[in-house]
Amino acid sequence: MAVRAQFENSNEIGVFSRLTNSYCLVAIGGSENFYSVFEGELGDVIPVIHASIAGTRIVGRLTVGNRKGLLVPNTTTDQELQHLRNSLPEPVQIQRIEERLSALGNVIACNDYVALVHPDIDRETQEIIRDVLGVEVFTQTIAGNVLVGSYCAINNQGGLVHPRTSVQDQDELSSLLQVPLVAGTINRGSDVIGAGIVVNDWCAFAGLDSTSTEISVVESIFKLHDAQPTAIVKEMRDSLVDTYS
Amino acid sequence: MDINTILTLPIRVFSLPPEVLLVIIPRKKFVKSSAKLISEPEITNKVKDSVFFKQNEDNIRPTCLVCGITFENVELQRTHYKLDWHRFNVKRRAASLELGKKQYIPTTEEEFEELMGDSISSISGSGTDCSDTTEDDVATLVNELKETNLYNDELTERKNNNSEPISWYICPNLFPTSINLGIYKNILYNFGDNDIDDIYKLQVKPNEKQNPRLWAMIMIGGGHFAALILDVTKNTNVFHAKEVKAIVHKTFHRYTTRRKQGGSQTSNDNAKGKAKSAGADLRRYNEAALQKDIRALIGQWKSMIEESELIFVHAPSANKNIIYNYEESVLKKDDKRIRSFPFSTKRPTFTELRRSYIELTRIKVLEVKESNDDNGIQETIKSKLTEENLKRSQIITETMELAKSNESSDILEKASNETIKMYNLIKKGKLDLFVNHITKNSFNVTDLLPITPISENDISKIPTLLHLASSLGQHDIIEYLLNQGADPTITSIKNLTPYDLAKDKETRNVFRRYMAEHMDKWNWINAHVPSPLTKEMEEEQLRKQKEKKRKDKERKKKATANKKEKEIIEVNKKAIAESSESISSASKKNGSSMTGKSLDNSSSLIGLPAEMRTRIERERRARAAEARLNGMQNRGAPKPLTLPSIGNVVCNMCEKSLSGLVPFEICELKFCSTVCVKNYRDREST
Repeated sequence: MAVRAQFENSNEIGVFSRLTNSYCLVAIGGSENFYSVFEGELGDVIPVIHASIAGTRIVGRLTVGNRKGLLVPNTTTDQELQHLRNSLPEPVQIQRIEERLSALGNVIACNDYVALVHPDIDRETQEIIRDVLGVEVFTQTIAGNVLVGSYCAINNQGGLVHPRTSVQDQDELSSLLQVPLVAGTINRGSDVIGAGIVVNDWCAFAGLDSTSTEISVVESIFKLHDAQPTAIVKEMRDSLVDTYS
Repeated sequence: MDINTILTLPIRVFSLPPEVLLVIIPRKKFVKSSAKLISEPEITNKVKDSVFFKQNEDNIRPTCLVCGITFENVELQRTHYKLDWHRFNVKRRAASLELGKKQYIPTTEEEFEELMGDSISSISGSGTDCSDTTEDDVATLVNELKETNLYNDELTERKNNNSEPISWYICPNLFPTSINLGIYKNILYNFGDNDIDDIYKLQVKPNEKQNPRLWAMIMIGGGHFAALILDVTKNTNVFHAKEVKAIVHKTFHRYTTRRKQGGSQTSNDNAKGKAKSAGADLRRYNEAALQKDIRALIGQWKSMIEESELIFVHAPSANKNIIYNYEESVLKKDDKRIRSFPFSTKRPTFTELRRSYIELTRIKVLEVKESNDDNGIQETIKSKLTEENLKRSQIITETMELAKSNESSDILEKASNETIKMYNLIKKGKLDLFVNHITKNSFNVTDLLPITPISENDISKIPTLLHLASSLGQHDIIEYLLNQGADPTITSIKNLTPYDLAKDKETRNVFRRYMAEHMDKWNWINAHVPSPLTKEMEEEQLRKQKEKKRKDKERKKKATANKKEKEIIEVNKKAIAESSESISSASKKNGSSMTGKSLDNSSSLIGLPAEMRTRIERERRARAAEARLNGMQNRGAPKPLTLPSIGNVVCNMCEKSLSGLVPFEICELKFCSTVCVKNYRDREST
């Protein structure tokens, strides 16, 4: 199911929210509209958490996470970290990392198994990503852009990448990620995929400007047509079992 | 004309022999057509194409497009993605995309390893510390490449993909193809594009009367300014700087540079704030004055400069502002006629300008031995015009020497690069890197150093690595070299061994220590090492030094103690003298009642500590003063003394001082002893 949303008149909802299979972070906004969209879709399955990072609302760009963990930049205050710790489900690890590139959401793209990272990211950071998020880490660019987190959105079933990604690059990436990929846009032609859409295994939120074509591409590549949170428990993703059983 | 006759005389660019002019072609074209040299990018493109081709053929195979390779299976691909090599390529591609370049050639694994060079070993050494260094290495490597790319781009724009200042030409059919003629690109109107036409244009026909063709040359630097304008038609066949005739020329000098510190005053002011010294003011004034003078001069020459075919300008850094970018400036930065001097010039003087003119317009002659290999063309240089030629023309040999450094063979260049690197490593004293470098290039430390452009000057002084290390005082490198079997007996031209060049005592000791351990390995007399230095000797020396130090300390201590004692004694003496004086003066007034007592006191003081003594003395003085005051009060008004003051203190008979004695008195006369009393009586009675 793909839903359109807007954060205080901005379509870049990926900037203000971070969605994973086990939790959802949303920025503290002036109105509760944005929050309610998420709460309405996800409320009874995973926690939707009001959060700020380093006092800012751009939680989606500053953090990165998946089902197993959440990484926050070193600018996060102790209070914020404590709040996140209290609100996140028990099995989710949270870690604050010392990394020069502090907009983790821009420089890292990941699902529950694989992460693509910016080539300038520290060795140590890569190790932390591997340990906390439980993923394989690959250094890669997307259509020549080093900001892999900004220019793609991936879940465990598929991925949407920058529209200028060449076919060879797409093949290579999909062999690396082991999921099908498609090059496309969001928010009526915006190439900043990561900022326009947040997605997990059964639900996606896109900017309000997104056309229905874009939405249908999103639904098909991320396999959201009849996806239910319960389907996961039933069918696949054995690794999820320990979380929900 | 015969080849030799052409080549023996220096050739001027304005008067190329007609037969040469007819057949001259750029060397590169010739090389390409004959040897079909495939340029590097073409090869790699082919490789890349084949990768794509394969991929189209067999879609299942995973690839890494960034590195331009395919893999057997996904596992290999995944492991590849974790390599530094891959990271390096990803960064490089990102960097080249940033610069807006379409084409990007991946670095192969071998190239990468070569680039990483010394640090490769530290990667395999593993450990968390090392991973940091590789991180940095990759980053710095990419940055370096970025810079060089940028630099290359600039050059490409300006110089048509060839960074050499000289373009080379050959004359097939006339000369053997091994003879190359070199012309500075900067004197060609289009920097080497369309060059043959430009060479034709440069020719001055000897018989016709032509309009004057003007060249302007300007040099500014370090407060010196020199400029001239000359007519090339009148200077076509000059071979010495002195023969060059300028239409106008002018030089200025002002004191603007900071002596012993370097740099101009303005640059220092900009960097560190305005200096307030008188010198600084002077220099600032002079800079302004120099600028004014130069601009005025250029203004005067305006018409001639505007007519000039070419304008050569050497005005490094801040000096550019003097001649460009001011109101009514004659020279514009984007003027196509403005050229730099494509070689290093000395202080701007009239002579230097003329020398530069000669240098610019003389054609370089270079003989290159070509041996056709499979790979393409390898050139080895031997300067080989006939000896007769060399004798007849000093200038040609000179040019060839010059050309030699420009156009050296690949092998020589590589070797020299390695040597230069080695030099730098030794200079910095980086033993481990140095060892790495040596082992990697399998450089034999016992060999003499090859001749390199850098070392050419001091090759006579420093024939081996050991000499170099010794003169720089790099102990561990010396030790390493000696252990590797480097010969310390090799002498330089001045008959100096490495030991003689040693920088300091510790360096010499390294040699002596090694000598102690390997007495028989070398003839140490030839190595000029005087004596071995064993461990025992060193220990002995250390001990002696310590002993000496200790003694010194003791002596010093003693000296200070003595001095102190002396001072105290001095003070005591003074105090005693003072007190005795006061006592005597008191006794003079009060009678002698106290004298005996105080006398006893002073004699009893000797055994007491200094502090006590001073205190007692002070007390005594106070008492004496009190007594004096009492006496004054008792007597009321001060009374003139009736007695001669001297009579009071000296014996009346023998005039001996009575201080410290109990005087004998008769009728208020005082005597020192009974003998004196008796004598007095005898005298009285008589």
